[in-house]
Amino acid sequence: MSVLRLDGVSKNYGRTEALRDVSFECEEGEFFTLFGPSGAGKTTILELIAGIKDGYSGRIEIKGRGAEDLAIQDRNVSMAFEYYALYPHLSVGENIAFPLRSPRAQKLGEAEIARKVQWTADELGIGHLLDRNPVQLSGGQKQRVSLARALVRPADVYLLDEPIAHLDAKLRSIARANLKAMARNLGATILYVTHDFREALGLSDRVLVLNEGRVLQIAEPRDLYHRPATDFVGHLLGDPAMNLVDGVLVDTPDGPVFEAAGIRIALSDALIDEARARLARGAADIRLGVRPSGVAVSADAVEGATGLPVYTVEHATDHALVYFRIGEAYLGGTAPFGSPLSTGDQAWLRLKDGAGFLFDASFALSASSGMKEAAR
Amino acid sequence: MTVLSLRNVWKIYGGDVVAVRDASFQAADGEFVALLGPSGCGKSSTMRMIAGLEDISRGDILFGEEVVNQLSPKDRNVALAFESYALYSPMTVRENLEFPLRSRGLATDVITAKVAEIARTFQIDDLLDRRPSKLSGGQAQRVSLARALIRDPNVMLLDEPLSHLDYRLRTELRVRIRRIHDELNATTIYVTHDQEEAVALSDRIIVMNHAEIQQFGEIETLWKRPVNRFVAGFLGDPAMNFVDVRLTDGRAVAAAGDISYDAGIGNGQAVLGFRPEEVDIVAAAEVDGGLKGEILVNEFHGERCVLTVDSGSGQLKAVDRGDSPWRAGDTVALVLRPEAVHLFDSDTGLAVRHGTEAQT
Repeated sequence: MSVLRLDGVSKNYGRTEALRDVSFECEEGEFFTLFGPSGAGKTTILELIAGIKDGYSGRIEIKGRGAEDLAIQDRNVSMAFEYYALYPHLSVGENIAFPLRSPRAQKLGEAEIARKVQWTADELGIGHLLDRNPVQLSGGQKQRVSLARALVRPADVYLLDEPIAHLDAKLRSIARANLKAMARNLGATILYVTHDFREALGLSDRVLVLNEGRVLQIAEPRDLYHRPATDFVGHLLGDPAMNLVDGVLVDTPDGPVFEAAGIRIALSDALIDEARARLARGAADIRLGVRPSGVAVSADAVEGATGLPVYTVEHATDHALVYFRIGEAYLGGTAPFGSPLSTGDQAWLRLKDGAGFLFDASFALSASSGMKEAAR
Repeated sequence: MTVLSLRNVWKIYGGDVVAVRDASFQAADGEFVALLGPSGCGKSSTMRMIAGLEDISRGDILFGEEVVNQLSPKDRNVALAFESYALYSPMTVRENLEFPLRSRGLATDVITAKVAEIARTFQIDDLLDRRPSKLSGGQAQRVSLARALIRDPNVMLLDEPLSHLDYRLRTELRVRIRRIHDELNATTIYVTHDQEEAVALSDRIIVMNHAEIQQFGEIETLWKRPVNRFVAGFLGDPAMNFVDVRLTDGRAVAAAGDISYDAGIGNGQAVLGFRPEEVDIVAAAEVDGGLKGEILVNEFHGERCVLTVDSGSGQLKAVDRGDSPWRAGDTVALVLRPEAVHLFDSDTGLAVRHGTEAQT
């Protein structure tokens, strides 16, 4: 039986539609992530489940019971907030112990409480801070205290809202692994909210991609990455970002090719059949999606490759990223580390075997900073 | 065309707080140099002295052969984009962008064309008629950057110019910054705390910590031959693994006995380092002895997977391909590559050995 089930949940704020027909189920012990740009409606879903917000249509079930039949205090859910909400007059240890001392909690001895608090804090790397006051902590430390407070007690579902977003990059990488290991040790069912694709892919059993209140895809991380349902999903996942170029499919004697701004790019074998099918039904307009790792760039002419001037080159510690302009779009590909290519040089690009996606365009690419910002 | 030189530059606040200690470096004409370090390391103070926004306590800053210590910011002909933007609030975004061009007396149609181009580059073309008070932090930052770069400067000084933007936009726009640099061939100093950004953009990187330059070099040098443990740990994500070892008759051995490396040198304590990317992951059964442990977590990130391994020598990170076959709970061996093992002095943190070469 699923621990949590949403069926056709919609929610409006006045005339603004926050959620539209959201349905999903979490299995017991599952790490389930709501992933999407800010404003997608992720936090609203958590708040409806926790009972912090109400007034929705559709159905929410926790362990088979309708949420509308459960008073807030009877929903056995535990939530950690992005903005901590710690009690300033209590020590870190007392903040974490707080849910265990609640009158509704199972009665525990002081030694047992101390043990649980210490274990939880240690797992999250804040075991040495228990005697501190919250005001003495950094944002990242406060956030882990808030997370520990949520995880210290048993709950049917843990609702975690961007719980490590305020840690710096190095700490986040450690916290991510700690959190995942801890979730498994607890056997906890976790509903996790993030806009960070690394957390979504790295932590989750399954990921729900949300945008503008609508579900775009629900899938396991590898499926999501290798088979994104839309251009938007592809664009959100991966670093460097997937290239998206608008153009048309053109039938040639050698088979279908992609063309944009007068530039032709040969399709990988994986795309040929789909391209033929699209051409056969007269759907030539296309958005080509391909990750930079799927575009090989060389300084020498290669059979079937497209020659273009280099827009600019970026470096990483094990490869170079070479960018081209195709009309208004940018297309990046990979070259070996130490590639001599630089701005203005002629280079050759081709799609690697199996690389690329043919999408119907679902959002505007050009210039729209509002959209790009929403797509974080 | 400007070679930028710092010669024994100090910044001392209030008589005794040293923000920059004896910094010397030279950026070649047209070079893109990143000043990289954690917050409070002195990188912004260094930048502000180059820009002329702060006095130099000691030492000289030269543009070409000319000492510019006494020149005001505007007489240095530098383009400045700072983390805190300082846009002219009574003007629209368009007027803010036009301002540096008007003051140079350019023709109106040239100005209009340049504004349109730079606005497209930084994705602010739909914001041109707004006033700065109506912009988000990230939008204001892009306008500030566009205004700095619109005027074809000889030297570009960019202090965390993308820090307020979300990740996606940041990675898109940094490509365009590099392109503008390449077109203008302007000597560029770029301050950032983000090692990935520094690596992506720069010809060479200066790593700072505790007010001092730790190392100045190309990416490959910093990666393979970091001068100390700080530089080794600051570059790379996930960071380099460090394990305490004892040196005995030329071998470096971890307390747990699971690492034994032919160090060829000395006795006493040391710290052994290896990068998560530079270790081979094999089934534990395939190796006798060595560094083994249970996989606590295998995080899929798309192009690669990051493993956290609970070994006798502590929790270690290892990077595998995107199609990594390992699962949490599997026991694996991490096989170090001798050419990619580093040794650091336990007390000073200085590198004593990289791979098979000793440091002198």
